[in-house]
Amino acid sequence: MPNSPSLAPTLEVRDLQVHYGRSSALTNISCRIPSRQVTAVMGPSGCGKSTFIKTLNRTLELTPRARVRGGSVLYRGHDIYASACNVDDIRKQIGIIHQRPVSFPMSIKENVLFGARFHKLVRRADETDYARKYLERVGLWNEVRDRLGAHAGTLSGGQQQRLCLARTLANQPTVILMDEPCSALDPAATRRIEELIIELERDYTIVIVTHNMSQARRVSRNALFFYDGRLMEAGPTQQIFEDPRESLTREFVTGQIG
Amino acid sequence: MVAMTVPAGNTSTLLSPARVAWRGRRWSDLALWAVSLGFMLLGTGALLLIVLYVAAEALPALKQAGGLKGLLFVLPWEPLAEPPSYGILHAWLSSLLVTALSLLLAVPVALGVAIFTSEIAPPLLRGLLRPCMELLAGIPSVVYGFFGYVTLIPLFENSFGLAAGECILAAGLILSVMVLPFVASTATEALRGVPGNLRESAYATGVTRWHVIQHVVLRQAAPGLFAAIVLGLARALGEALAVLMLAGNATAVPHSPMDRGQPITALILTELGEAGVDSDKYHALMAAGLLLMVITVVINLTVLALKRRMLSRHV
Amino acid sequence: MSKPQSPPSLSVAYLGDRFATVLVWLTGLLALALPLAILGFLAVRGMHVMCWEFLLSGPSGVPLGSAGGIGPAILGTLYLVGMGLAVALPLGVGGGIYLSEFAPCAFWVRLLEFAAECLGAIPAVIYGLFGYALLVVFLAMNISLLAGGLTLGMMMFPIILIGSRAALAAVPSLERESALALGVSRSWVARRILLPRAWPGIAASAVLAAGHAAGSAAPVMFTASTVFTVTNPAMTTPVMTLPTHLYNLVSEAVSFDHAYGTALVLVVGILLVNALSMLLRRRLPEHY
Repeated sequence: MPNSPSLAPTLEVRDLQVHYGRSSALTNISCRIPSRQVTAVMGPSGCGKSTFIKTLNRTLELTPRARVRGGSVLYRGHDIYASACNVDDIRKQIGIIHQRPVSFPMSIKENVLFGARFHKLVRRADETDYARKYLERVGLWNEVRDRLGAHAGTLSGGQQQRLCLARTLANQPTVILMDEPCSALDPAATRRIEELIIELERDYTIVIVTHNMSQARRVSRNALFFYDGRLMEAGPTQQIFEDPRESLTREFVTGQIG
Repeated sequence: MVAMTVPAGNTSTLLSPARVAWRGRRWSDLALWAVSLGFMLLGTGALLLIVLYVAAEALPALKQAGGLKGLLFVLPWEPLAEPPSYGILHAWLSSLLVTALSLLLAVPVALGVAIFTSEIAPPLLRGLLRPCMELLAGIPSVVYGFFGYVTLIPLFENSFGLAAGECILAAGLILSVMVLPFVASTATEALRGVPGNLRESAYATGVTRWHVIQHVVLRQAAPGLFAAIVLGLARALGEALAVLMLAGNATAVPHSPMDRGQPITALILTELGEAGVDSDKYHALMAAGLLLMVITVVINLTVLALKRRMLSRHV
Repeated sequence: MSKPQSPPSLSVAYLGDRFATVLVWLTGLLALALPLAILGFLAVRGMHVMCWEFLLSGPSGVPLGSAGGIGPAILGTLYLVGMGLAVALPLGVGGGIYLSEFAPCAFWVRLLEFAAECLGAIPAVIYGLFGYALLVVFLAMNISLLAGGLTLGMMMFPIILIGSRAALAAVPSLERESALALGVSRSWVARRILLPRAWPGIAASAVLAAGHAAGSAAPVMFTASTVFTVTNPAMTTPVMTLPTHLYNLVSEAVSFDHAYGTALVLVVGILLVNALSMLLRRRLPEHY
């Protein structure tokens, strides 16, 4: 799909500084995340990718000792770190799925509805249809339609990850963050998730952290390259891989570092 | 696949400051925080209250002749003398004797049980030992006192020709049974904490099983074993009903295990009913209680610290 | 079995090995036999007193308690422990929730846990002493169910607090994070994820605390118990309790038969309670 330059970026980061305790984790990060596109976040391990993505929906503060020391993250023009901002609402609108699929100790259906019930997005009577809608979206419906009441722990790893995605989608977000969603999955499950990502791009802004460069090339339209807590380069994925401006970027995409 | 449209409505209400404070869910979080904090403080405030109250009520006991030294080392417990004196020497000495006796008996047996459980026992017996120890630990003090009363006391009266069989020895024997499960289970934990590969390497050198146990396992587990003994000490000091029924309740200073004694706990239980509040006797009892409380708390905290060190050692 | 040719020091070692093993086996068997012996002894001597009349009716006869039953004592103990739980459970669980969800920094948590550990280390008789001085006399509650219940509650609080804290901490933090990342409030997470996960551990510690309290005579001797009562337990009246009743039967030499029966009831009751606690704890590692 062609890039739509008229859409303002959903997320904009300005001069972000993040510390773990005393040491700096992210320094002077500024970038834009375009709407309704997949943006990959890449870099060698320890460069701050996960830290960065968690700042985008204020889940970083759930990690003890992690602090945003400066800068701002603008979502639709408003700084989400401003004191007037409601954190719960931010997290509803900007969802996240993690590396290891975490299903809650309840039935599959209750898992999907967990956030939606809280945010009052669905009525009691419509719950099953609502859950079905999102389970279908992630391609899980046919596999679980007969056992919606079963404990979610009985699903396989790939299924649980899709369940987490359905759960996030059921919150009706505009942005979906993904922190290495496939690294704990087998190749078949990975492929299914990647196909889903490409399909979801139509309707959501997606930011995906990945250490797998071929995955980044497959699914993303834009890319951010991080190194040692700094944003070294940002641009269209094709350009990053074929014609990088920074030498570090070139070394990374050719496999010389990280 | 279902076509999805992203709802556009939410953002208008997202960041307007006026809405923030009135979100229903925010109140529930605040309420939960307040309630849980309140309960937490209420509960732990009780600790402060207990310690301060007992300490405050114990202070007047120092007004007796000799002050602290008199209270602890010199004065006898003679409420009916002229003037009445309330020294607690006999009490803490009895506590010490009874406790020492019980540990003397319990610690070797507990060590044996611990070694048995962790090194030697077949799985069936190992599985049985745990509930057996828990059973022993669960029997209340008063039942132990009763058991000792109907078994040991008549035995003592018959074999030693005493008029009454209650004595420090009887209390010490029963106390050793009461203390056994606690020392044994902590010691077992300590032994189990010795890493398997340490044992394996030792066995691989071809020495006997006991050589390994003695020189490797016990040595490695030493802090945990020490903690187990100290835990037994604390529990023995704190026992009330069993020693009340078995130690004899005599206010004279004991000199031997066959003497009758009155540990601090028994002193309190015997005399509290007749102690008018704010009387000298009352203050002396509070002083005895303070002594007991401080010692047991300090011991228990030491054990906990040792246990923590034990755990972190085997990371 | 032919002995292998070994140097003298080694065969001494083997002999020592054997000896030590036998010794240790003896202690192991002793440990197995002791509880069974004690229980068996009580059961054999006390069984013949057991009947519904014993469990339900009050003490009678001369001297009082040599006939009749221990019904009011059982009732009194149940009421006291119930009251104690009513106090200790909210305080303990609330405190556990605070420590695991809301405490602002590690220092504060350590401090509060330290306080709880200190409370747990205080011997039962001190709780009785304190309860008597503060509740019975100073606050003029007199010897009553209320005073005794509050005293027991204070005694049970640290056990329940530490148990709840452990149960809540055992919930994987990744679950907490994933739930909060969906934008739900902490009380929602507590209600929907934490408590369903942690309740077996919380209940196990509560049951354990209750069993311990039920058997303790020292805290209630001067705060709640009386030798004999016919009235139904009320907040302001003293009550009979199982442990103090046993003590009275023995120390006043009223009836040893009934003493055996009382001891048996007490021990069996506590054993059942401990078994329940163990069952609850087994439920803990659920699906994963």
